[in-house]
Amino acid sequence: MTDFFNSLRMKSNDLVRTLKIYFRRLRAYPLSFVGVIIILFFVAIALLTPVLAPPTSENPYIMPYYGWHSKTILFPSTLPGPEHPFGLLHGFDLYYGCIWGVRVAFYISIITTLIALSIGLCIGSIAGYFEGLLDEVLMRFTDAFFALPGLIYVLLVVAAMPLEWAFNLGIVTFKITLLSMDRIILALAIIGWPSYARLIRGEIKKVKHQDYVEAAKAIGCSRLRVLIKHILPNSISPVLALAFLNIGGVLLAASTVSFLGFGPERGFAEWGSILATSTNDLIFITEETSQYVILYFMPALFLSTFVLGWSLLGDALINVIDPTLERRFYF
Amino acid sequence: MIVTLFVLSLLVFYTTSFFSPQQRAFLYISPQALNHPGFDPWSKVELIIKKYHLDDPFYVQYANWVSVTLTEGTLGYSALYHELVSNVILNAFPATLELVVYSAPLIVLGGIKLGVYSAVRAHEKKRREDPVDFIVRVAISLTHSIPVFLVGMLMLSITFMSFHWLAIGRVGAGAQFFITSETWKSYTGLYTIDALLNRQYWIFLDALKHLVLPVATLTIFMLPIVVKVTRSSVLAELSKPYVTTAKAKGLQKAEVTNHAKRNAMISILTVSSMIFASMMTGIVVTESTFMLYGLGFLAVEATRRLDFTLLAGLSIFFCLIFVVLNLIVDIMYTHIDPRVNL
Repeated sequence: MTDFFNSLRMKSNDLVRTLKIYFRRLRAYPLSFVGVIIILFFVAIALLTPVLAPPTSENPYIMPYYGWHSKTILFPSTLPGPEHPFGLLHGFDLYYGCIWGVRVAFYISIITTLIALSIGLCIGSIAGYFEGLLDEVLMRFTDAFFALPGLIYVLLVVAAMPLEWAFNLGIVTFKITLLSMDRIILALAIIGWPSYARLIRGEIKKVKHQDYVEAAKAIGCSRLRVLIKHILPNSISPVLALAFLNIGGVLLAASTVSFLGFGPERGFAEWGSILATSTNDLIFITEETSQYVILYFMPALFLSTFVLGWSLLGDALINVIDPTLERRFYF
Repeated sequence: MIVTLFVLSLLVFYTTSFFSPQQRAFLYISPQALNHPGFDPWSKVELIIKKYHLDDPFYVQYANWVSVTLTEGTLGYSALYHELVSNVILNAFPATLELVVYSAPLIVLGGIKLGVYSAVRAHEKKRREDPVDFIVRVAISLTHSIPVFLVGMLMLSITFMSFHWLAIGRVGAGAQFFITSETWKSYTGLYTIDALLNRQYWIFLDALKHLVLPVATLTIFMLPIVVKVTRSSVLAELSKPYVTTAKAKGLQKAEVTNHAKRNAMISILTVSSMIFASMMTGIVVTESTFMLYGLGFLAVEATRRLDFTLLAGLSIFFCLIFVVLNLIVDIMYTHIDPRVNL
């Protein structure tokens, strides 16, 4: 029993010591604290969403509509007023959309990065650990994904993926209904995993020849145990830094996909599709309608600040851990 | 290289196999026929599916397409534009090429200069913050967090709509009329170079005027990436011992910076090639906003209208661009760093 607790204390000491080192290095980058504050602010909004913007219908992610129901003519937008704090965007309550959009933003960005991380880590660590032909084949496969023109392939996948999937396992049939956002998430994860795979493969190659790995193999650890317990924790830091940075980029890419029309339907509380709805107002702008620009800026401000928070944190982490990383850009 | 080509086209084919054969058959029915009263498209759909083998499994269709491409040499016939796929791509390519040719030097050269300057200033002030470096870092973070379409829309609405200065499209109405007439000989397809070769200087100025906004938008987004990578690699170089030796020897600061920059060129080259590749394979949002009908716009239209021949041909083209670029970059690696064997 005391052995168990001793080993726990030693492990947590190690972890705490590493975190303290990173924290001390992070103090040289005061902008990272601004990023953390921004993220915490958005987390607070996400937790308090039902309080700040009470849901009015069954599906709370659909913005409430205060206009006429016509298929062809859009209800005109209104400026911010006492009832609707951010105004009405073609009939939809913009304040509601922005507040519930925070939850959608967290959902999209974090789940995409998690899926991409898991795929990338699996493939990259296998390629890095078992060198030789397997490494070569996996890297060629990864290069093919890297050569895909990102946004265009995402559009193709979003257009092609059906919303309802059914799996047949003998007697039982599973039915999964995806949201339109889930298609974007899966598509972006398919595009995003090669960066992590390449990175972890490079890091594992650097770590593999260290003495402690050889010692672990000598005392008889299985290959999986060596990989997971000894190699991965020492090589995963740049990957985590890249993941934090990519959370913001993924959300921007998802907004671009929604903007081009491949995203959720009109009225769904996602910042990208809100921006897509209000783009027409911005293009055909005249003297009288120039005041409605504020409606365009509100979701854009939310989006930019959210991405800015994660970017500042990710940039600082990358500077702390390894500044010369190579990454994919979502354009 | 060939493996990459195969895997890429296989990926695109696999994704398109998720569309049902009925959806794909509708592409072959023209809009005039659909609007014609009394025409029932569903009666013809079965015939179309059988004729074009749309219900075979995707690997059979893929093998068919590969054999046709390799034996006939063309990339196929696009049902959407009613032309050969290669013609469609080559017609749309100059727009993207013009944009890339005018923005790549700005981004790469300007980015390297700014990154090196920022890194040198950051290195001089060891413990304290340098104001220029701080501003550069903040600007990089800010431009990474603003969506591309927002900046494009903003610039468009301010300059075009409100002040009527610059405009969308590649050339104005008068120049467009001249270009599509018979007195215009198209040498390269790039309007600026062709205007100089045809000695119509007003078209040259017009095309340049229309290029200002797209190039500015692209630069705003791509320049900070180059600056960031340059700054971090040069900063890492400047803390190496040979820099101290060089300074102790009495070399000028410019010469020392030159040495550090040359040693840091590898990561800068990698990033520049990635940026170049992503610009060539189409920046969809910039092209859609400013109505330059280039490769990215073509790809989105092919996706929207489910034109799979065009998509497959485009993916091959993109992969070729990527492979050629990688080859050039690899050759440049050996040029820059003699220790690298190809």
